[in-house]
Amino acid sequence: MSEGKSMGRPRRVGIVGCGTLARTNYAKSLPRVPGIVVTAVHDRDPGAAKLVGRLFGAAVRSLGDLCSEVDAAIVATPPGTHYELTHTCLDHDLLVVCEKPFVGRLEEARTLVSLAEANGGTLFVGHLRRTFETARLARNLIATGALGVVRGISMVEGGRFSWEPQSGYVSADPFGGVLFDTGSHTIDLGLYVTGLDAREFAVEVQHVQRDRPEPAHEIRAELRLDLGPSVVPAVVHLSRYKALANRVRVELDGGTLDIPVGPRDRIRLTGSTGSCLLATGAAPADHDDYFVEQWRQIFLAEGSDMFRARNFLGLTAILEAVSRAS
Amino acid sequence: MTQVTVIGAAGYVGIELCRELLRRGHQVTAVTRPNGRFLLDRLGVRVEGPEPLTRLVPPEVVINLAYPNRGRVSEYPRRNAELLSMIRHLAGEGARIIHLSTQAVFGYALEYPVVPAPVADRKDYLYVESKIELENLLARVARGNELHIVRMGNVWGPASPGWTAALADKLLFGDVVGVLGADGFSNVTDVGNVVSYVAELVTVPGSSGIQYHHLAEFSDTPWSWWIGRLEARLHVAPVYAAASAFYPSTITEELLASLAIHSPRTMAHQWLAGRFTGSWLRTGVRAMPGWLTSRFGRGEGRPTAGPGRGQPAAPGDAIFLSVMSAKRQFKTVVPAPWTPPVDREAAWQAAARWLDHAGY
Repeated sequence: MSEGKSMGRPRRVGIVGCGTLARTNYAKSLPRVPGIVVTAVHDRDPGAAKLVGRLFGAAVRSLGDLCSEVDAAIVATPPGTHYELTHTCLDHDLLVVCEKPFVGRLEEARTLVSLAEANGGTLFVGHLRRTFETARLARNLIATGALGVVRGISMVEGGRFSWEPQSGYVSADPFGGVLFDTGSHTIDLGLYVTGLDAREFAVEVQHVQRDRPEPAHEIRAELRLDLGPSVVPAVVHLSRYKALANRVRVELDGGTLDIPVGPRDRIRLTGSTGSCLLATGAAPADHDDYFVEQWRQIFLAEGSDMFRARNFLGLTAILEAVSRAS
Repeated sequence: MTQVTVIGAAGYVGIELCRELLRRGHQVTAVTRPNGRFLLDRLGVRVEGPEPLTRLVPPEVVINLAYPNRGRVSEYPRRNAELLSMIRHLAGEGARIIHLSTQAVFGYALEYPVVPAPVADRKDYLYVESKIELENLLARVARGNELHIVRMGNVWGPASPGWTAALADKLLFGDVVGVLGADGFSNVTDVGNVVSYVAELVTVPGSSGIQYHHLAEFSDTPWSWWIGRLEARLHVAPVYAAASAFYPSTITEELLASLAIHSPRTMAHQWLAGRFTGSWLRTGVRAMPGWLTSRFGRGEGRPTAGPGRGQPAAPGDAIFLSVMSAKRQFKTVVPAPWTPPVDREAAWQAAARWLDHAGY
């Protein structure tokens, strides 16, 4: 974002995509972030745009006008449109937040990251679960090296799907299946806590089973993440049909960590002779509080890498490899 | 073969029920919200709804599992009325109606007399009020139809989101799973038994009027029996609360307890979520004009063993702990002899297989 656009007044934010997320979590969290104000919204459905515009007291604009009038844009459209819309916003030299899942293909992700870095690195991806206290605790613990090296990751999440997206993308968008929709959260949590989010690796899919072609509602995949000097086996198991364990399990030399995928205040460490709970020391917050923290990291914490797009290339590589595997 | 329409078919019990009805050779039409369609597509049932409902094939039996579980607190009576209207429309004059309800109509701690009979409308938690209201609305309007109200205990089964899965999660991440020294009756019914019983009701010879059924074939099994097996399987030690969380039995008790809260915001939140204070506040909200009520929050949904928040004093945890330390049984009461196909050991083994599959 150019300096001239933001100095001396709140950052003007535009929302591209006025679906359920904008009406619910965004409406409750963005107004609580100091220094930013939502001034424009855009959606191909004028009614949806009008509704969200009213919630924020923002103007309804065409995409081109929105890009010309704001300092930052949040892209919250169905995932199949992320690449094109994010590209358009970056072309206007904006700070851009692309909702998860970032994009479906690694090549597209690299293009957007390169474009953003050429403009000063202003592309972020919204991955809320990185703000969970349990994610921070697990990441810090693993980073100490006290438990040794990561030997495997299992990322499991399942439950009857109840989100009501306005666009119906979960059954129609090629990147709307459980892998991209829920799995991007679960897999990112696994990569984030192990520190693999910032590493480059090759993905080999050894086995995959899904209920139907993408967008699939249930999937189980066995992978190998080739880091060069070492290989980390990984399992991904996701379902929109039924409850699963809802945890990321990290196998390390010195024990196993179970990290909840939802907001809780404890993780479990299991060793060879028993297990114990490690508490974060903070009660889980309201869901909207995590959104506020995410926005703070993106809009206010200068230099924070937490949500910077280059840290989601490994995730995109996994999503692409699994989605292409048959 | 019977034409059966199942409303609320995409829920945990609904899906299993559709499977069982199909297995028995019935023609099943499922009614669900649009986002539940894909859950039913692979079963091979015809999926509709929620609107418009064609009634192309008039059902002989209408089974309702739906209830208002989302939306603003001011909307719950309207949603019950819409549901009632849908049931009446589908059932017409002659179809048998089977309505699945809950033991919670007698209070989460079963503090009201447990009888297979109507329960009077009363002030209580939103979910309970709403469930009682729908039972009574149906009883009032379904006079031309045979009506069966089936109240279920705590539904156990593989992947049961309310109990089996939620208890496993609580154990894994150290949330409290009960009150120390207060091991309650579990009042459990297995999902396999629920669907078997309801499927039997589809074809039993006709009767007249309203019949009340209670299902909790493992009601006398203490929670410690289920928790003990889960903890052995997961290799974890359960965490118990030292004392029961506050579960009010009168509004005076509730108001007195709220005096200990020093923050006005917390107090307001407590009142809104409270058993009696919340009920009275909702009554007030519903009397307000629409533009004002849209500012009030959403309902709490269906409180079960759902994700813990690490604060046993929270209202949801108080409800959960009151269920886990229930001193009263919700015994099975069925009008005709019935042998549940799933015994307790089989119920546990099915859950154990799911634990392995689910990655615990």
